[in-house]
Amino acid sequence: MALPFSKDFFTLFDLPVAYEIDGDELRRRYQGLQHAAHPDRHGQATDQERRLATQLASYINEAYRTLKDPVTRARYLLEHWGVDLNAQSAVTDSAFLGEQMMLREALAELRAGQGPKAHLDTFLDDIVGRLQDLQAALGQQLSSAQGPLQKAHVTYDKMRFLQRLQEEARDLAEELG
Amino acid sequence: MALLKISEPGNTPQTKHTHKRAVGIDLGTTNSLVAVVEDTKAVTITDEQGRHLLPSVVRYCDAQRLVVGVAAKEAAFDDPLNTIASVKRYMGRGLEDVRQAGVRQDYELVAGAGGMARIRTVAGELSPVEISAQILQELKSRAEQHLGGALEGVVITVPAYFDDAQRQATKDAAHLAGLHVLRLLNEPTAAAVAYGLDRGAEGVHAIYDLGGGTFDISILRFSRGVFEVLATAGDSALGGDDLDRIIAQWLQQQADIGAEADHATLRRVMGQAKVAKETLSHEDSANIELIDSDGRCWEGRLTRETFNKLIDPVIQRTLSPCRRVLRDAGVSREEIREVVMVGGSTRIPLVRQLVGEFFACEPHVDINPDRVVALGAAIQADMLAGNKTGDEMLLLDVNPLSLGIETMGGLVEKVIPRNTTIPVSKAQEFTTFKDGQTAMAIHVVQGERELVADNRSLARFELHDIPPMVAGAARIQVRFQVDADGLLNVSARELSTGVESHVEIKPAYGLTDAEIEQMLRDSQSHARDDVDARRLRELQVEADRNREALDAALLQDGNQLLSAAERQCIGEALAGLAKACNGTDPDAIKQALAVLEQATADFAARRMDASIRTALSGHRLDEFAG
Repeated sequence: MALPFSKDFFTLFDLPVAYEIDGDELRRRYQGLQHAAHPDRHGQATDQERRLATQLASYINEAYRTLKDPVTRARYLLEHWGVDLNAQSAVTDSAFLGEQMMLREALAELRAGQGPKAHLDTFLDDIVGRLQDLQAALGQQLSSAQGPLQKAHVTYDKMRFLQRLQEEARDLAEELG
Repeated sequence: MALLKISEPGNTPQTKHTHKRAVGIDLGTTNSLVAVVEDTKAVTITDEQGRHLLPSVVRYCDAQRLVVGVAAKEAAFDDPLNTIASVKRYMGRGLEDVRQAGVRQDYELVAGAGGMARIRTVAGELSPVEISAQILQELKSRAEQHLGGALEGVVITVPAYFDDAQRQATKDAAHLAGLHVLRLLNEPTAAAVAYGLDRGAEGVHAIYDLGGGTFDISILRFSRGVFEVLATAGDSALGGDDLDRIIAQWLQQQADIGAEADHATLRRVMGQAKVAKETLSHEDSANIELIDSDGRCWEGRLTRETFNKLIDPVIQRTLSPCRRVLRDAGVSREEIREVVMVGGSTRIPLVRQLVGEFFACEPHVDINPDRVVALGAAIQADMLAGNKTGDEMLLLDVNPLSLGIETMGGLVEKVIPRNTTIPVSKAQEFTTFKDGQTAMAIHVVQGERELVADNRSLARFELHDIPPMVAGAARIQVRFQVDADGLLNVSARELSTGVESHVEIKPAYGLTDAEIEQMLRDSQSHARDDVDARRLRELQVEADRNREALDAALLQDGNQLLSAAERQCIGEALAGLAKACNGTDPDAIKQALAVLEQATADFAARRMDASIRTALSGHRLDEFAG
């Protein structure tokens, strides 16, 4: 049967397979699909149809979650185009690695010094800015399967570094209240 | 193309439709309610005296007799040990949890099988599930009397922050009470539905729900008829009860009543504390009079100022989940358009003030905070029962706590992070760590901590018959499926051989199916009832429901989606089911249902596919834009 479990996530939402995505349009289509698939829309259907609806709604939820987040979307697209993300970290860019060290030290200092929360906010804003730059780069690199995928892999790994740092900084922000 | 003729699911032609008796139930810590949609408006159903609230109190008078509600509450002073209030706090909990959480213990708690908390009464050692079932039973008969017939389905609300064990316990209680659960609905989401926030302006809203024993904070976004819960947080053991206890402690100090005082005196202190709290919601001070069992009398006064100082720490405790929920939802305080207040405890001025300050907006209190959850549940029940046609409302909720698996060294590997939209299905691969290993123990946990020991253990099961391979060669796929009720199912499979193991999560502190059956056997309401007869009836009802649903589906899509041969095959299976239903063999009905499912598998898939295609075709999307 032609249920869309085997469709890739972009095709499921009838969107072009590319990194750049219209977030509002994605959400509209997601809502449209859930209006049709969600088990609550099949309250009076047979048990069989409601089970099917649950599976389908789960699949649509996973697809939406994957595509709406810039990092998981990059991962999904790279894997979709056959890039092995488990290969050794692709980041060899010493300038970036140096920057990472610096940022980590800065966070450690913020943690140890427990300086004003404003410093942590500035730190977080800085990371958000860097992530946005990388995201813009990915938009170029992942516009099609013919793009520079190895470069995109490096960009993705950099995003992951920054994302982990962001998580730690947010944890710290939460600790500080 | 023929596909375009298909009407929307839930949009079945009106002519075929009969009104279903479906209600919403708010099974609260302090009070419970039942509501129904009448003439397009949700209303709570009152008892014969016109009371909306049913106190969630059950009194076991002796081994046979029990009373629920006001009559039970009134007996609390005279018969404290057999009068059970706030049983919701014990749902899905072990005795140790209850002790650690510092839930006050008014009753004789004992450990049941597997460490589950049970309460010793004149009617025996009872599980919280059985006691809750009595409350549900009372609401059920109230509703059936009002509606003039048996209920076909209910939506029962649970705190959004309830974990799997607490949800399962609630569903088990409904089963014991003979209710067909259409959905477990999160309380804040129910409140949002009752407020009809989807009909207002688009945007992000917060629902702050402080009830008798639980606290939830949910962030929702509304657009195009969709209620999307972005994140939820809370504390399933924090509520008005805690405020009562703090005031009671203050009263005990003031009136010099020691902790060793008799149960009846302590209950009276608690009762006075509750009254004082309620008075202080609209007065600046409350006069209190206490008489202990020796006839000693104490008179005093609690001012709003002292009251605020006493309860401030508890209210502050609700603000840290508020911070976390914003972070998880990825929204800032400024983005919150409105805060809706739910639960009796939000009548307290200090709560309103602190929450208003936190979100920098005036909290919404238009609908009675005691009733709003039941009203929302009734609206959802009405929709799920198919009474409301063509309605575009859709609720997308999340799981409140992360779900994971124990890995090496007692660490947790998260499979489904908290605040993931449900339903959700996720698989993770694991491998063996010893050469020739043929079995694997799988330990499912719920919670946010890194160490297994710090999280809630949900279930353990084993996968056997893994073919012997070198360490790390086997590929074991563990799949978690959380349904729209927030309940978890786990299955495990060795991928190279297909060896499979499946568990329906029965939480460590839950009841086994056998125990539920035993309770059904024992319970008074079914004393003269044979359990087999009940099982037969349940299967007949299930079969009827499915037949009716299939008839509607065939009427709608049969001509377009089925060949004559397929249609005949389904017809035969339907006839077989009808025949089995007329008999008395439950197994024959089960088998006939399975045969029918086989015959309709393609039809079900084609219908689903058709509705998905229609959803994606342009004109549907344009409709959503409006």
